Amino acid sequence: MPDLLTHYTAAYFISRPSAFARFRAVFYLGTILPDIISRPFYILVPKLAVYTVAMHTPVFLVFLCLFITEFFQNDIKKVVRNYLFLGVLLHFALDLLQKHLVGGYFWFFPFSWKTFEIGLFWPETPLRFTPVWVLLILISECVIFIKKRKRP
Amino acid sequence: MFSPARSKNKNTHHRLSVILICSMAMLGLIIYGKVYNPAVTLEMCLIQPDKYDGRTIAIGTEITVHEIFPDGFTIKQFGRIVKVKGRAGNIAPDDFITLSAVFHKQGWLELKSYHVAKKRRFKIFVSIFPALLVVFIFFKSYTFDLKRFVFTERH
Repeated sequence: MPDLLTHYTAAYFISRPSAFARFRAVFYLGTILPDIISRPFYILVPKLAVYTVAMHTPVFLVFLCLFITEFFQNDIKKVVRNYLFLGVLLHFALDLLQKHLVGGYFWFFPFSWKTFEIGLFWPETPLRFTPVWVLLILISECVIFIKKRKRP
Repeated sequence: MFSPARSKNKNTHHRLSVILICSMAMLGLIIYGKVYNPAVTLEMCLIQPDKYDGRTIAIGTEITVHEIFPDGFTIKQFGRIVKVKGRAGNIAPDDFITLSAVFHKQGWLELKSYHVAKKRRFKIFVSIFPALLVVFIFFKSYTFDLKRFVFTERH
């Protein structure tokens, strides 16, 4: 996985259009969801890694998104579900660009154990750009702030 | 006739059913992933060395370089130290590493290829902040209604 800052930055800039405004938080949650449900387990207790194989797969995330959606008020459930799915989709799109020497992602789990990646960069490569991501977000937030102040 | 009470009851049943089905499906997938994973781990090789002698294995879960030697290095995984023979280029002790190697029943590995995950600890550290930020943004937008047990929008 690229680091969560890279995932967050991608989500931040994709969700700038006003259509995202109301459900941006849900979109962000979807974007980091695949990693926050699986990585802490095997970082804190590496022996649990074998149990987290399924947790970073599309099919698991579909069930998880449906599960989470049930904890939202009825009138927004459908939209929340769609924004969660969109966020997860963005996460997997970025993961797909990576390359691994070992493992990779099981896109068709539980039907197949085959892995596939486009192989543009190693998981730790985007780390070099973290200062750039932070700077871009800060500039964007400044621009938004100035625009808001100028409004009558 | 439309009855709000009946509709509410139906909604609750539907909600509980979805929660239950999704929970069972996720649990099933976790168990399936553990039981049917075809990957051969270092642990499996060390438990049954004769069975896996000569097998190329890929190891990548929380492995660090322990010591460097002229003919190779040792790796540490889950507190276990295993010798790896082969040319080690730009690695240093405590580096996180993933490797592909041939297992030999005497308990050592013959290196085929490796990748050093430089700054992995920094990556984990950097990832904490966006996670906290998302939690903050989420609770700024939604509040949890304990009576209905649902998130509702803050207005």
